[in-house]
Amino acid sequence: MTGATLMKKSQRSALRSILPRIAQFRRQFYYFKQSPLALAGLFITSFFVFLAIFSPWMTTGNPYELHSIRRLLNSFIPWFQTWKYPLGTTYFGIDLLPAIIKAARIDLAISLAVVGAGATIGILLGAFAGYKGGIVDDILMRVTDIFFSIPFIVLAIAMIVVFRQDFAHVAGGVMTLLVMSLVIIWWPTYARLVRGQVLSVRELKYVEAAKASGARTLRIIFRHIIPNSIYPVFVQMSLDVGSVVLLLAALDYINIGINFIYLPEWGNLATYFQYTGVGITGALQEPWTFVVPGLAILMYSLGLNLLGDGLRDILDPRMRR
Amino acid sequence: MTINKGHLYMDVRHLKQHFPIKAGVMSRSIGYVHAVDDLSFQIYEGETVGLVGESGCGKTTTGRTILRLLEPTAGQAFVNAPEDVSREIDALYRSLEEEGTDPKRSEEIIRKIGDISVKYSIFKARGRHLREIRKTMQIVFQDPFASLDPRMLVKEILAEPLHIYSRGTKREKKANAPSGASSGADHVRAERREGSMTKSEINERVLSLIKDVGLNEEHLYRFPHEFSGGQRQRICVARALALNPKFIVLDEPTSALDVSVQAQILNLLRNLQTKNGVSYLFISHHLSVIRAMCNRVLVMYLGKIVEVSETEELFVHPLHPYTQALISAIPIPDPLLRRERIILSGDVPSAASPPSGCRFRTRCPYAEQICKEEEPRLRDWNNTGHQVACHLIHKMDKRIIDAAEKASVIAGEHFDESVLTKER
Repeated sequence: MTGATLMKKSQRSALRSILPRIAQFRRQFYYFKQSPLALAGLFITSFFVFLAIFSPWMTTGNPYELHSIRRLLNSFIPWFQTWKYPLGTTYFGIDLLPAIIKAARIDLAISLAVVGAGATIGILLGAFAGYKGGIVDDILMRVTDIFFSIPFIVLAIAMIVVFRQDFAHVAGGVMTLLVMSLVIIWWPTYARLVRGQVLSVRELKYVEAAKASGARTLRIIFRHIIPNSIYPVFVQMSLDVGSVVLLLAALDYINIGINFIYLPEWGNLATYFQYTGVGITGALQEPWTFVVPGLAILMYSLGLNLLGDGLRDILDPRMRR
Repeated sequence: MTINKGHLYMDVRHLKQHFPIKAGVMSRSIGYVHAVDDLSFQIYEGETVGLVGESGCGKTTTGRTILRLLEPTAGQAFVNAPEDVSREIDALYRSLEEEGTDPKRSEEIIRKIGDISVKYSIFKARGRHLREIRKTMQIVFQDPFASLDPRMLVKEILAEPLHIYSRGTKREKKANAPSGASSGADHVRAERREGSMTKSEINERVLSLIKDVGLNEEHLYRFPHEFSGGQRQRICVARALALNPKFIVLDEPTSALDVSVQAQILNLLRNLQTKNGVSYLFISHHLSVIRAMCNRVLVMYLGKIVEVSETEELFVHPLHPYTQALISAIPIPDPLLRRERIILSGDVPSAASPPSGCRFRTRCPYAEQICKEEEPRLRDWNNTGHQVACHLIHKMDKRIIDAAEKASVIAGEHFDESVLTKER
């Protein structure tokens, strides 16, 4: 009896502490709804997320099953010759529509891994450097500068050339390498961003009040500093999730990314003409082979950029129009 | 006029806080801002000590430093030392001042003070000891809009200090079980075990806190931005009270509020004081508020204390020329009253290069040669408890005594009716 009432009481209090957060979220979403571009971004992004989640159920069979009889592209020109292949096929007789749908999952996974790992490292180091200040700050920020000075393409080439053999028998070895090199490139941005925020937050009185209440450094950083300086990071993350795919495509184009045929990845799909020996002029005869995957990349990055801008508007009221 | 002084809670000695001025590419320090320079004062249990002075004279820095939110440059602040120890401290400092000439003797005294300070001074405390001292001291800031974390519910804000000390206790018990006592802090260890609270106890405490400051349970489930300034300041007060502190620094707690709310907060603070017996260090530049709230007042000018006295005594007989000027600046809501205001010329000198001798001499209307050459010490005036740091008043300078008398006339409610008729 008493136990039951206690449960009720604790549940009620939990509910009460959640309700204000929901109210706050709704208020913020209201501002978000005011901007049609942000809504479009949200729509596009959720579309891709939907694709990524449900791709195994949406594509039946193997998109890489080579269409042996009609493997020549020429038989599918013009594009909409048949609704069986709505986005056409690309070289080796690969059907583009299921390939692109399958690629959504891989691209999203890579970009989330890169951004998630980069942001975690960046937030921790940036918050620590900014809060501690002094010599800790100096050292950490110089390290950040060193990482900033590495040109991305060069690092990616170096890492893949040097470590490719070591990662050969790891599942998704090249992808792991790519993600690692992207994380190495990406975290300094977050470290700087967070440090800048922390420098202003740490001077606020509530941080001092927590210190006066006996809070230790770690508690102050995790309970007060990071929650109050993290919103720009969300914005940056949503923008970066879009640009990771762009960089991947660049790497694919110069043939050091995911350059094997059997992995659907948008940037990779767009570069299949390189394996066929048709050359760039030959590829221009079949423009959809790179335009269609390119459009997928464009929509994805555009959607995330619009979403990021929308987030910036609601999370940073000073920028609100 | 003397109040019955109880247990000495805080004994601040020769507190100095100098901030380096950095310049150039290598950020060398090219000088120091003498924000707080050689401050000594005592705070007794259950009393309210006012700290007044104009902007930038180091009031807030003093408040923050004695809670060790800033690391002091020099000095000691003994917290809650037993009676005999505080008497010993007093004796040591006294003899240090008298026998400053003999280096060997003074070295010995300094060593002795060092030994005591390891145990009782907040500036020497480290780790657990520091946390235990901090538990008994709290601060309420001037700006209620910046002093509450905007991402936390009021409930979480109030529960935070309780959580911090509850968690600490568990770890403490584990750590203490095999090893036993470490250095210092024996006198606070007894209280520590009581501090541990379960979740429901914390909830109860939070509820009683919010009711103590005149808000309801429903206010617990809101974010700070949903409150008005006065309500936020109440929440700040509630947070400061969470751990049942013995001493609270009130850093201009009412300056950001409008007058009617000010009165509410002041009444709240006063009621809480009578209920819980806390001591306050009340930092303000609002003299009427100081007069209403404080038992004693310290007047600061440019990092130094120039006058210490019981509140009424100070307002009726302001001795230091600076205090006289301050008091004559209190607005009196009486349109018929014509009074002579003491208007100081010039600005406060830079704290980076304070003037030689008496720091007030550049603006003092009575300054003489001696003020330039020798720094005045805070001394009892005329064998009363009224301490003042001014060469001239101790030499019974006629002009200043007259001014003191005049100031007493213009001090608020205590003005002499006859002045009114004279003016007409």
